[in-house]
Amino acid sequence: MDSEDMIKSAQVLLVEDNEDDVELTLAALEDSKVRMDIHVVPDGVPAMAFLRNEGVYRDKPRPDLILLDLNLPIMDGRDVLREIRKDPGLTDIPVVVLTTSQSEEDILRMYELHANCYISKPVDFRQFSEVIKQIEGFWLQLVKLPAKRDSR
Amino acid sequence: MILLDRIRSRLDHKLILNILLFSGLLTLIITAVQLYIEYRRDMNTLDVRFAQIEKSFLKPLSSALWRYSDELIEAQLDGIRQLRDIEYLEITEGGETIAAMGEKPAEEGPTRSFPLTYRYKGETRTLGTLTASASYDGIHARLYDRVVIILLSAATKTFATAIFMLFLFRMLVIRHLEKIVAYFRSYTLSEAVPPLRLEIPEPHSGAGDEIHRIEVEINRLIDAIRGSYETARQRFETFFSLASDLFCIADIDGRFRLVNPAAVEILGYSREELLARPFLEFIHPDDREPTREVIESQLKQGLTVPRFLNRYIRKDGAVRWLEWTSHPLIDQGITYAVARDATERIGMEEALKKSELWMRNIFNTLEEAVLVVSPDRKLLNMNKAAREIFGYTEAELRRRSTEILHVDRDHYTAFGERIREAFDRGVSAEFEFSARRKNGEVFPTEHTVSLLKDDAGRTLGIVSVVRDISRKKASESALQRTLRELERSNAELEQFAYVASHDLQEPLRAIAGFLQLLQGRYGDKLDEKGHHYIDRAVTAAGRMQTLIHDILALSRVSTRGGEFVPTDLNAVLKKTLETLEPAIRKSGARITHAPLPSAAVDANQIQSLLQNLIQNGIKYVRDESPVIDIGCEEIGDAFRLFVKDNGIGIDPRFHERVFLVFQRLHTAAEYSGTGIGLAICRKIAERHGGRIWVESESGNGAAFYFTLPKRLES
Repeated sequence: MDSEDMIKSAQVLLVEDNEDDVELTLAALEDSKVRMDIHVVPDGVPAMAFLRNEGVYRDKPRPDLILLDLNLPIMDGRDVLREIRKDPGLTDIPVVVLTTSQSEEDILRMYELHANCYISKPVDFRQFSEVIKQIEGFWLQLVKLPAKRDSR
Repeated sequence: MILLDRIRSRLDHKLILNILLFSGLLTLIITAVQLYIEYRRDMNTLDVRFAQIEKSFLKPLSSALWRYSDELIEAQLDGIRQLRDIEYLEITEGGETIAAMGEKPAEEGPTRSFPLTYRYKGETRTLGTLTASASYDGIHARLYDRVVIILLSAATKTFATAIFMLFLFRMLVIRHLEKIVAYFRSYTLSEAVPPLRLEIPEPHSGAGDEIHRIEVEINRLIDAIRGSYETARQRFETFFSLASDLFCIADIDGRFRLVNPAAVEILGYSREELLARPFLEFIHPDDREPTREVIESQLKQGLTVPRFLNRYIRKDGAVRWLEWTSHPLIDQGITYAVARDATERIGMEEALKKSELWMRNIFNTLEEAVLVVSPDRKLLNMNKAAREIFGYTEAELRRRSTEILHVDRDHYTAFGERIREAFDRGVSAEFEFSARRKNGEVFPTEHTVSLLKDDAGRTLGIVSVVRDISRKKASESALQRTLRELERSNAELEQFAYVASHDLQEPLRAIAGFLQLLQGRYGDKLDEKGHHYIDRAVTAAGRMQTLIHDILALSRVSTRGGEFVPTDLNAVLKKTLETLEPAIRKSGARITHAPLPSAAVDANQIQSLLQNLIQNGIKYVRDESPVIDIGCEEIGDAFRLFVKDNGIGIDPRFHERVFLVFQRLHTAAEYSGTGIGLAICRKIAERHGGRIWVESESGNGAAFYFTLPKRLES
């Protein structure tokens, strides 16, 4: 994305390994009024690389919102969240956890790791797209985020 | 003879007879001597007569003859004739009798001839011979008279003396003797008799005469005899009546003559009843023959029979065992017998025998091997299991050292040390130890050793209970394996449940998601039926997700359960009702509850349990609004909580089924639900050590009960 654009698109990082969920999430976000660039990575490892602009992600922008699935094949969402919160350069990025798990244990753990929001993925697509819309509306439009710093 | 006997039987008569005989004899002898002397003197007087004739009459007679004067001759002869005993005189001359006088005695008596001479002119001329014959008759007659007189006087004197002596003797001796005899004759030990009193004057001084001394001595002797008799009798009587054993004297042929009070006590018959019938009739019919046999073969042979056992039947019908010791007195025809009541002893012996048999059977029935070992570690006794476990016969083990049961000498020594240490601390100990069978196989055992002590506390030995735990060891390791497998499969299940909760839902959500996407984006290209199918597919996917959630919740009751902590159940209920607040408000349910106790529980689970039950009460309603009552009762060591509703109730046929997974009694159209709520409730109740059940009739509401142990610690 071009940082010079007059109207800035919101940068969203979706960390999701399930392609169905990726497509459904994208479909739900398509209807959004907000302009956004959605970057998709399938695991925690590329997600961290993306955030730290490592390797192929060297030129990727700093995301304004992270949508994080918990159950990931190599480095799962919990570890990603822990890493983000440990990294002073990343800790202020809002993270919304998307998961099918409803276990209280998981929920508690997420808040302990300072997830900003925790959302169970509903089965009903209409509900799901409603949730997605609320997220973008809240996190990308309402919440005034700290001034962006250069990721470097 | 009879007279003689009578005389002989009486002392006085005997005395008199003897006196008479003796004095008669004496009189006779004296009389004879006297008579003899008299006789001799008489005989001598005959010689004197003849000398007188010679001296005094020969001259005148010769002179008369000389003159031939018959007168003179006759005068002279007459003069001679006057002499006593001269019976006959004859003068012969040349064989011619010149003169004779008197009668010639019949018997030949003493005769003497004298020459009649006359001196004439210096010449002596023989004129004739005078023959004088004397007669004994006179002498004899005199002698006879004298005999008569002497005898008569002597007899009279003797007799008189004898009579007097008899009287004296009777007075002084006989009457006393007779009295003594009568006294003794009438004397009896069985009753009091006054002492012997003889009719004699009290002696003035000293000991009195012999009779008096006899009286004193007899009384003294009788007193002594009576005293020792009384002592003996008293001893006998006392022992006889005191004895708790049966004492009796019996005829050899069959009746009691004397029985002591113990006999009455033991046999239950009165003394009279016992004496009235032959004793064999009191004996148990089975024992009569052996008893008779012993009487015949031993008692009647004069043999003492010790410890002979038989049974008597008491008057009340009870059977008593008696142990007899009998001693016969053949000459008296009686038997002294002592019997001990052995019923109790025999009963105890029987009981002991029985209990010994009983104990032995138990001993041998025990599955554990039991060894009784002496302090020097020799095998005293062992049961069947012991022989079987070690593979030895009893003969191979008895009195042998326990070493043969040990793996080797070191084990034997070590085991001894172990026992010693254990007994230093207490009287029994338990430990595992290897042992060796006869076939050499070494196997693991569990020993429980106890000190065997007598009543005085002395050590008699050691009782060792040995269990062959090779199978237990094997099953223990099998159990360990199973446990590990179970843990692994539990972990797998947990993993599975988690995978189910997450991974199974993803495709499901994708299916629903894409269907809805299809509907949203391409809805205008679908007709109404197409939309309907999509709706049905989405609804089904949703139901499946609920099912997956519920299964997960069920599996988490045990896998993800929390700790039991003391909890105020009122707080749990309060939280539950808060959670259910929207549903309660919506249904207009009226909920009442009594105070609940505190218990150690997993609060989240109890909340979920209460929530399920209350939800059911709200859900399964008839037309009226739900009324739910919650409370608790104390049942022994548990609390019984209940949730009662006024709903549709449950047919008793289904009371068990409602708690099974996916058991639904209604179609989804009637009442929604997955049929897993009550299964979760049961799992929660059981995890807490309680149980859950329902009491209900169809159409009359339901009362669900569950129990919680009354414990506060976790």
